[in-house]
Amino acid sequence: MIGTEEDVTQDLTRAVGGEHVSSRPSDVMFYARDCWARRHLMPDDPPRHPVWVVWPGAASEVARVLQVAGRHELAVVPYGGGSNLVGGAGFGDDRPVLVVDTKRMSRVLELDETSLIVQAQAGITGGDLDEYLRVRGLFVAHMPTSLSQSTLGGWLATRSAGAFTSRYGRIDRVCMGITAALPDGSVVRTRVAPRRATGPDLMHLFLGSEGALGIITAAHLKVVRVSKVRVWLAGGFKELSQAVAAMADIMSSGTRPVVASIADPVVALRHSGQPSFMLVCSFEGDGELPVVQRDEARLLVLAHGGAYLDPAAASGFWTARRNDVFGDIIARAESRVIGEVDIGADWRHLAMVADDARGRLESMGCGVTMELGFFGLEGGALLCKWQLPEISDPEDVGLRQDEALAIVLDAARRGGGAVAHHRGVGRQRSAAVRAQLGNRFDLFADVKRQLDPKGLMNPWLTEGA
Amino acid sequence: MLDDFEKELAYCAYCPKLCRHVCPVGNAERRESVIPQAKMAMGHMARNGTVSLTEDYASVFFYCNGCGLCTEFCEHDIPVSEVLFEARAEAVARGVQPKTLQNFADRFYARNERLVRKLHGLVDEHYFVEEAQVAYMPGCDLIDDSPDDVQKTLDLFAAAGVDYVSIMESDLVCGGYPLWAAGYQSEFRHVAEEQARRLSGYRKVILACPACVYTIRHVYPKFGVNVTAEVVHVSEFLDTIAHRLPVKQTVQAAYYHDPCYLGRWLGVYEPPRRLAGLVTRKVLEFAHNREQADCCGGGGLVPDVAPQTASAIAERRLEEPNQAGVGVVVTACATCVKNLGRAGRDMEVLDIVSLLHRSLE
Repeated sequence: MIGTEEDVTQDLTRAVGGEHVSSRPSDVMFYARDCWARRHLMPDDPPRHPVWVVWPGAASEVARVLQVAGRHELAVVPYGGGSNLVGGAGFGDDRPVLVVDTKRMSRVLELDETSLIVQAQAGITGGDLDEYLRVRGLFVAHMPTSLSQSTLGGWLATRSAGAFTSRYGRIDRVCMGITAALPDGSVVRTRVAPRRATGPDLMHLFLGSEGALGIITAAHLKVVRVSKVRVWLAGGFKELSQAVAAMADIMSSGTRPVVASIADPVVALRHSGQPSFMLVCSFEGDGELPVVQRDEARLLVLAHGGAYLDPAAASGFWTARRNDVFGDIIARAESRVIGEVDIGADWRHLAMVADDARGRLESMGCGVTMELGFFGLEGGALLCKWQLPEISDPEDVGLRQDEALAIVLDAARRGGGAVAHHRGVGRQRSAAVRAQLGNRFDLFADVKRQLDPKGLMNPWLTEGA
Repeated sequence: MLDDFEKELAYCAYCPKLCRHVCPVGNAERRESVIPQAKMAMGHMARNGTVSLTEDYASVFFYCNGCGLCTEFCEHDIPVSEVLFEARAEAVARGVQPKTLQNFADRFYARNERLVRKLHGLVDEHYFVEEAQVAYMPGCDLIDDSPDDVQKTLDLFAAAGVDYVSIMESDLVCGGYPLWAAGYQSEFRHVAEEQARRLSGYRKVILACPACVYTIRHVYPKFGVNVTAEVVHVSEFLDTIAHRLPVKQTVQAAYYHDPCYLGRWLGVYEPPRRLAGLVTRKVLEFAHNREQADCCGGGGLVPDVAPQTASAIAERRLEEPNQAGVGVVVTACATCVKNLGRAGRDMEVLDIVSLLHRSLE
């Protein structure tokens, strides 16, 4: 660091105002944590705290903050809702850390109800954005489970997926343009025009970059009109491969489900009373179209050896998703060690990856539940959750968790898959992702060096770059 | 410390912040340290010894309006504000409460003394009847900040032919909610015991302060203090005599704001709405109403600890009527009137009593 802590504080105060700078222990301690269970509290291994937290109110203030960071050579970590489950917060070496909390930038800047585009600041929570749109008969075409807790900036920085991804695509399909502050203190705005073909789209460079290239301060998103009709479809299958094949046909049939998932028998049993793999779809729109689409999809369920289930099982499954998160809380509070990872794979390999991961986790003694979702024309994602068997030596917990994670990642590798979904890389997965990407990771590190020669921005994501 | 709440603290500490979006303080402050999960995590860490409570660490316990909206959204029904008020008591016991709440009990008693005198100056002495069975207890914020509403309430009783309500004769004008919320538990217990003795001299006591109705009904028993009198909020009582109130419609449209203690904590939603409907052509609902109503920012002593935060919460609550171009917000709590009124520069914020009084024929 160049200069003293007092110098930095004074410069940050000039950048955003004294009331928006804090070094209070009660503040900084919570910015060293997110919702990664392993580092959530960790009384025996308290995370290193940032020295400062700032709350800029606009892109220009973020740019000024980054100029200060550059002048003093601080490490900078952006922070949104802090709902990350894989260690998005948390810092490596002993460089003084400045956290930039984006939540003061929480306004909707523009809504074009003709083109169906909203522009909002990056610190708005999904819940606030959704509520703003819903009272106008619209909704954002993105619905992560963490909707109310996470921010728009967080979705973009982790290339998030959500419950409506099968219909509308991941956030990189929903996002039309971004404003970002760069490490040199400049601000870049990408064009929003549809169907643009003006060379490489730099917006995509920032999506999924987890704060390593700059700080996203605002974005334009596609929005959707709220439908008048929603109908549900539930189908039960003996084998996962049958359910996956049926879903692949549904996705390519043009029926365009909004919610699309495959629940494993443990979960399905709770909602349908049947211990089978349960295919769940919702079809939404106006007039007869959703019913026609649902009926078409039902035929595909039958064609793949599935059986109709009560549609209430599908809506019940959808409603209970939030409650499942509450269930995880009990497990963590009772010191049961649970883990989860999301893997993307193509249709040919999805069931194979799931069966491979499940078999190997169960041979470790883990309890396993799986949900498949976030489907596209080419494949989908597998959310794999496990609970480790009781481990007598607490020192073994970390090793066993790493072993479980490695098993799933290896299953993904063997099936040509990759870490997927909206949780990004974080601290939990950085080593695994580096190994997975090989020299492509070096290319990313080269890009980072060009944009961020001093290595200010979330330097631990590309450790060694 | 906080041994009665081990499970609650652990659940919140390990929760992925599922109620953060509804916390009025968290939304106004934007600080991660004052969302419900973090405040409870601080309690969890203090309990298990990971942190030693300092004034700074303990300060987060005091960033809570006690509104209960987080509990409404919690599948585990964790009573976050109740736990945080208990944590405040721990802070007070260790002498690490916020500076603005140091010597709070002394200031509570001094204010009480001043308000007892003020109350006697507000209304005629004939309203103090020693043998009365039914008493009216205006409460501190009403006497202090909406003093005219005391006489207006008595006028409404008279207009409905209710001539048996006396003003409660007491050297305490408050049920003790501020002491409980500040974490001054021994002083609270003393006030509760004293006030319970006075309240129990009546068959029924009508209170204007929802927080004190809640405190007397639900917090006193937790401290082993019971009141034999029936304790009701003034809106509940007025609702029973509304058919005799000679009022006419005088207001075109008004939003009704649910006070947290009256609504979520006591479950009183319809009586004040019915009363407002007597004199208002259109009683408008906030998008967040009844069980999911947003707080005004005035509860939990947040205005004492973080006045700008309390104002920001109120401003956020008033955005909706402002955008709708409706200039009247009616509520049923003097604290809400005070906090919303400060933020609503071009907005008329008034108590249901005041609205009804204005409409007397």
